[in-house]
This record gives sequence, structure tokens and C-alpha cells, in this order.
Amino acid sequence: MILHPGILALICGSGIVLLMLLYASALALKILRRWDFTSSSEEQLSLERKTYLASTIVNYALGFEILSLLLFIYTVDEIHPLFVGAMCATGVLNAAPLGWAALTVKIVIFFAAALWVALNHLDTQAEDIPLTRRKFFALLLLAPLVAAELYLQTAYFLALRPEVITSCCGSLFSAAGSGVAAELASLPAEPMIAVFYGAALLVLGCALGCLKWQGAWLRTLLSVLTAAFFLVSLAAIVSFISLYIYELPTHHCPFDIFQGHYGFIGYPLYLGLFGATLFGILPGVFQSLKPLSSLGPELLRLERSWILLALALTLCFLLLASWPMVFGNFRLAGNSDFSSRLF
Amino acid sequence: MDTLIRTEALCKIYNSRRPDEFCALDQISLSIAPGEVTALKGPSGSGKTTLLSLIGCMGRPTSGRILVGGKDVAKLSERFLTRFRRQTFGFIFQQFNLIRDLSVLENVLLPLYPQPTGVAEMQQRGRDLLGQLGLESKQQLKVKQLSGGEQQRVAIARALINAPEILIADEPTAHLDSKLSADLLDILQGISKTGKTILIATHDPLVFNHPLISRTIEMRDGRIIEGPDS
Repeated sequence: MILHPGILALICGSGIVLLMLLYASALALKILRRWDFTSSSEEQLSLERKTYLASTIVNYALGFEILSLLLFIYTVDEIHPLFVGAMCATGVLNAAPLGWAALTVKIVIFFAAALWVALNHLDTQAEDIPLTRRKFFALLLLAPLVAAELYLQTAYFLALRPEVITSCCGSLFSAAGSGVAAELASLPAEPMIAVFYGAALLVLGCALGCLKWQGAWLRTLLSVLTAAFFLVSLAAIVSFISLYIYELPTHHCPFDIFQGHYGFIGYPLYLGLFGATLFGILPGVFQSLKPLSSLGPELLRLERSWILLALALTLCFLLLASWPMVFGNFRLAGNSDFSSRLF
Repeated sequence: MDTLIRTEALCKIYNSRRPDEFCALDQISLSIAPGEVTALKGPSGSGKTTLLSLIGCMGRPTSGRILVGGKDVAKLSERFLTRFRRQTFGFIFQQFNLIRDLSVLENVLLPLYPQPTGVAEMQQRGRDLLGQLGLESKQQLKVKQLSGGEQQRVAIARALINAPEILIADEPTAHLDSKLSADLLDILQGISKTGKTILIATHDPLVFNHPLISRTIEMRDGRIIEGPDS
């Protein structure tokens, strides 16, 4: 294992978060069995006070989990000079088994934790805390995820050996290679550009529609479109956005953009995408809560903020993704193979 | 009879399930109508102050309900409880609890700072209240320069500055002589005439024998022994 501060922080942080979630899960089991808000018994009042404590603790713990995705990416990128053959985070993720699995679980936890934080925030906006049962039930689902993350992350970092020669983005994200990464890299650029901007227009149109009309189906559609746009965007970053940022027709790596040579553009780019996805998903996910009378008005107010945030972050992401295409020197015609001939 | 405050089977146990467990309130059920002036009387340790602090949202019951204006305050989270306490209650404490190095006016305005009231309006309200209590000329003096009776009146002004529906006074005459106690009770009588509900915890006969008091509830060992309506 490499004793890097980021690695130590990630493992210790996940361990502490898991301990907090286990405490909250024990309380969650009691809440699922005994919660009765109409009662004023000693047990119920004691449970209510414990939920405030547990919710606050878990809220901050999951806040760390959300930020730890960023720390994970930063750390694997930061330690790449230690590995022969690694030029960015891709090489480090390839240097030991479970690297990609750890990253995938961290992405899933990013969204799950953020949804829980939003659910908790909504619950605390009503005097009768109507979502307490649901949010503690959700914790029972989150705890195994965090346990899996701790295992994968620890096993991955423990298995990292600096003497191992690793393959990096040049081979993994190459149109000539095999696997999902290679397939994404070999997606034809022109149709992909059309799909990407088409999907972006649909998301923006749907979000504007949600601001104008109150239909539940529209919010559900926004969630679905946002989730789809997230996947399309990840593919687009590999397929063509990265080419414009690197100004190289064959370099498709989605991780090099975190490095200083490219102005750390990866951080705002991915923050915009992840943030837009989260806030775009929220209105649809919480539609079923609108009939709760004590939450209705607050949910309407919050929903508007979420949609506005989703709009703003989507526009930021599009701006950052499009900037090198519009103002850069690099021009891509046809697909990436064809463009190499232009250069 | 309309009810402004109602408690149902209210219990407060300190250090629950520990060797030093102490039951301060045991199954207290009572109702208080709007505009009523209620004295809770009883010896030290009878639970008067605990009951006042629970009704005034300054503490949490172990079990039972506390309905104030129909809202069960025992169930409110700290965030809602604080807001409700600020809007509904004014407190007069035994020790005055004034900040000695602030001026009279600054002390009176303190409860308004967390609220969205403009500074000019705050100061106008503070000056009006101090005028009603005969302290207009002392508003810029530091509290430590005032006599005990004047400090008590500043404490009353501070309790009234947020226009509360309910005024809670815990042993308000404990540090006052007979003359100042009578003055205080006259002030409270004037406040009562404006329709405010007043709860006073006391073991001073001057208070519970005063014509201001419309109802007396006697407590001992955490229970009501005289005057309950349940």
C-alpha cells in the first residue's frame, strides 16, 4: 500500500462513515418497528430525539461520501508518477484489480448519498417529520453500499504496487483496442456530437417546461432525460470532447483532463455534469412525496430551486465542453480517424 | 372554556435509568385559558420551574403532550421549537439575566435580533416599552448602573419586546423587597389587562394572594395537589 494522505483519508473516512451508518442502521431497525408519530410515549419521544442526532451525523457522513468521489479521483491522479506506464488516473486504476469497481461504486454512492441528503433536508422542513421512516429505511440500503465501497477501496489501495508496470489511457481508450472503453473511443464523432447536443436540448427544454408547467409526468421525464444525458455525456467526453481539449485526434482519455496541463478543466467539467444530473433527477424522484400535505408547499419551492440549478449546471457543463470546440485551434471533420488525416 | 395551554400526562425524569434518576414531574395534566394569570406555587423541588420550562419550550419532556395554541411543542424539532418560542413566549427570570455591560435599550432589543425586524422599528418598539415602564430616561445607561427594581423592569421590557402571547415568570419577586414586589405585580396586572396569558412560578404569598392571580395551582414532589382541572 502507498501511504499517501489521500489514500489514508479515503480509507479512514469510509471506515468512520460506515461506523456511523451502522449506528444509524441499528436505530433504523427500531424506527421501522416502533415509530408512531401520533404517540407521546417515552419511547417515541426518545426515538424522535435520536433521529435528530442520527440524521445530523449521517448527513455530515454522507457529505464526506459525496466529496470523497472528488478526493478519490484527485488521489489516483496524484499518485500516477509512482507507476511505470501510468500517465494519469487511468493507469493507476489499471494498476490493481478492483480499481474500476471502486470508482463505479463511488459514483453510485455519490448519487445515493446526495439523494439521501436531499430527502433528509426535505424531512426537516416539516414539523411532523413525515419522511423519517423512509429515510431511515434508505439508510439500510446505503450501509451495504458503503461497506462494499470500503472493501473495494481498501482492497484496491492495498494491492497497489509501484513496481508493477501498468497500461494507461493510450491503450485502454484507443479505437483499436477492445472493451467498453475502446468502444466508447471508437464511437463516430459526428453522430455522437448530434446525439450529445440533441440530448442536451431535450434536457434544457424539459427543464424549462418544468418551470412553466406543474405536470408530474414532465418532472419524471426530466429525471429520465437527465439520467440518459449523463450516460450520453460520459460517452461524449470519451468520444469527442476529450479530443478537442487535448487537441489530439486519437487521445480519448476522460482522466487526463484533471491534470494541470489542461487547466484542471476536468474538475469543473465533471462537477457541472454530476451536479446537473443530481438536480435534474431530484424533481422526478420526489414526485411521490407531493401528496404529503405538510411537505407540499416546501417541495414546490425546493423543486423550483433544483430545476434552476440543473439548468445552470447543464449550461455550465455545455459551455465548458463546447468552448474548445468553438474557440480552440483543433478541428475535427468526419470522425476521429478521418480527422487525423486533416492534421 | 377555550384552552391556550394544555398538558397531558406530562412527565419529566432527569438522568433516566441511572442511579441518580429523579422524577421532576409526574403525570401533569392541566389546561390554561387565554388571558388567565396562573400561579404555580409550591416548595423548592416541587417541579414549578421544570413545568414552566417545558411549557415555555426551554426543555423537553420525557413523555406526554404539551399543546400550546393546539400545537404539540413536545414533538417539534429544535429548529421549529426555537422559532415558536421566540414568537410565543416572553420570559422573566429570577436572576433577571440581563447583560450588565450593555445599555438598557440594547438589552431590551436582544430578543428581536434573530427576527426580520428593521433596526428603526426595533428601536421604536424598545423606546415605547421603556416609556411605558418609566425607564425612558435610562435607556442609554448600562444595566449595571441600575437599581434592582429598575433591572426587573428592564427584564419585563425585554420579555415583552417580541409581543408574546404568553408571559412566563419564574420566581419574579425572589430578589425584590415588598415595595418593589408590589410594583412588579402592578405592572404584571397592567400587562394582564392587555389580554396576555401569564404563568408565574412562586412560593411568595405576596404573589399568589395578589388580586392579579386568577388561578393557583399547588405542586409538591412533581405532582399537582391543588387546583388541577383534570
